[in-house]
Amino acid sequence: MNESNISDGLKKVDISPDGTNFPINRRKNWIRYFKSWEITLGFVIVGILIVAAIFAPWLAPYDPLKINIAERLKPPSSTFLFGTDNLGRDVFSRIIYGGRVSVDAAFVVLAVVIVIGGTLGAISGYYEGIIDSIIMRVTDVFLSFPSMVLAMAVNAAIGPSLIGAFFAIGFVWWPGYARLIRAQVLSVKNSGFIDSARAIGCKDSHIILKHILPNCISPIIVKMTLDVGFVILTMATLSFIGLGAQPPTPEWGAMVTQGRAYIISEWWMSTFPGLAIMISVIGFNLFGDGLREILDPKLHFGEVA
Amino acid sequence: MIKILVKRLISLLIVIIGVITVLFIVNELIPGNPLQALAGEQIRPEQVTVLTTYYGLDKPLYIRYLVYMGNLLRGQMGFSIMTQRPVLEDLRDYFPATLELTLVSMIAMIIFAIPLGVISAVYKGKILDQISRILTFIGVGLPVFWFGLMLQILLYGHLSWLPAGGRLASNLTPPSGPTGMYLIDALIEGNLTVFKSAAVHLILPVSTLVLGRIAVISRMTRSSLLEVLGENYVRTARSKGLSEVTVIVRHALRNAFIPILTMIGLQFGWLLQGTLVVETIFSYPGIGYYAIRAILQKDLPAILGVTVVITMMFVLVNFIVDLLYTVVDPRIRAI
Repeated sequence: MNESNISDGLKKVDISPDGTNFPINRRKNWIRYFKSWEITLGFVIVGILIVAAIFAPWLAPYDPLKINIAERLKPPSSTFLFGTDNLGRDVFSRIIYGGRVSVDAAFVVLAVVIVIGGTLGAISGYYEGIIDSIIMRVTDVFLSFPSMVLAMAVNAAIGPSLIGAFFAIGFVWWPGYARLIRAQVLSVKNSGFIDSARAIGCKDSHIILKHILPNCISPIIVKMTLDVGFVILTMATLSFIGLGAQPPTPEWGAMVTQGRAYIISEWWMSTFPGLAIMISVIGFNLFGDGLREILDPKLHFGEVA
Repeated sequence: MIKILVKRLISLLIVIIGVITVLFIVNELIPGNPLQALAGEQIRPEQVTVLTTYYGLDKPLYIRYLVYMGNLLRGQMGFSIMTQRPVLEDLRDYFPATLELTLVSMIAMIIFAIPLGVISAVYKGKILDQISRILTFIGVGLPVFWFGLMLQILLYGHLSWLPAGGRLASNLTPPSGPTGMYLIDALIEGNLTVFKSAAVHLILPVSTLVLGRIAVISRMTRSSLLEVLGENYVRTARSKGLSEVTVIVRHALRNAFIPILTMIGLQFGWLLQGTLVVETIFSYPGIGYYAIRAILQKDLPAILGVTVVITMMFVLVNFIVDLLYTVVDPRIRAI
């Protein structure tokens, strides 16, 4: 590490974490992130997934629901890239539409989670006291228990459907967010600018929404991106069990189940949807890691952390 | 130590009561008679009414809740609607299988993950380290249910090396030992054929559960070891002229062990969750297999029973991890 840079201290921090000198230039920093293959790969996978989800009707060569018995169980070929299933539906088209279901699932679940977890976490952190202890004990119960079992039971109780799975996952997933948001609120709450807001007579709701939450947003975004992959995975697991998405919905986990009966000879029915799940989860994890590096203020070059 | 034990017991109590309450409420929200679902079309409406009264399903929620809690205190878990047997007996039959699967998985995970982590820390940046890094990404994203199926196609379907599922070859009688875990019971009886068959039947489920996790744990072992390797006492140990193996095993690894232990403890919950899916794929008769059937049929007593057992195991493992801390790190013993 360069001695003169250290002596400059807080005035100008232009040392990147790995010790190399670095000009204070945001645009170059952005390029730097993409020199790491993990981050690039993450962005590429997530990009492809989202584009495929949005433009599915144009990208999919066939109708994902159209049954065509004449073409059933065809192996992968140039006409059917990933083969066809037991009802003659094109597996490739179903995977593209399945991406839609997964991306939807991630958005709905995370929206549910952020609303429940965010509200409870913000209240808990802001008011502390008895409300805080009650909410935190409830999160303890949820966190000290394998969440999958609960999600399955809730899904079964609501009824095996896509919506049921959304709510089941949301239902077991919010405590982590409540904890995170509570911790963030606690750390911001005693800052000078909150005292100022209070001094000029702002209402609690205004302080929480306008002053506290915007200051804790980046760790929440990072956690959400990292969780997208796990929501997709959980969703697929529920569908695989027979909860979650029901036929004929093209959902990746459900497609793996449908292929099970044919798995020895018609391997493509289960293999490709499983690969799609795996690649998306990896993609979102890499993407989340990359985003953390970009958003985490402590890693920002050219800013005093 | 007693303080930790009491704290754990109280938290166990709170968690069990909380989870049972949540399940009761959720199950109540949606109408639907499990008896009707179970019996399908072949049962007359009058019979449903009779059975509903028999199982007490016509009582209000709070009465059923209090009755269940009272029974639980007396060590009863009610009757499973699905199997028509006491839940406790079902659990007694299914639980040892899951315990065996989980324990073997745990052991396999530790045996493979820690040495791999140590090797990638020592050879940081070398080929092996890079490979383990890529495997970690895959391990995190791997859908267990799909991976299990793939192993099944390959090793049973195409190569016929391993059995497709179950616990024992169908022509063998299960050992009647005290633990219910076939590996141990077979050894007690001295029956090597049964032992071998049980072991072979465990290979696929254990690999499915564990392979993805090994990548993750070895990665974490690597990073906590690397952190310690930069410490002064490691430099001192090296400068004393100790061999590299001694430095790593006796000085570095021992100090890096607390985070590794915590993580292995956390993995236990993950493994338990994994058994739900893995036991279903390999028709392995454990509580995961039982739980999935109970969940799909909305058999509340069975679901509650499984939940209570899993929660207890979960808390127990956390307690064991706490105990192990004191073994690894004498400084904690004082508390």
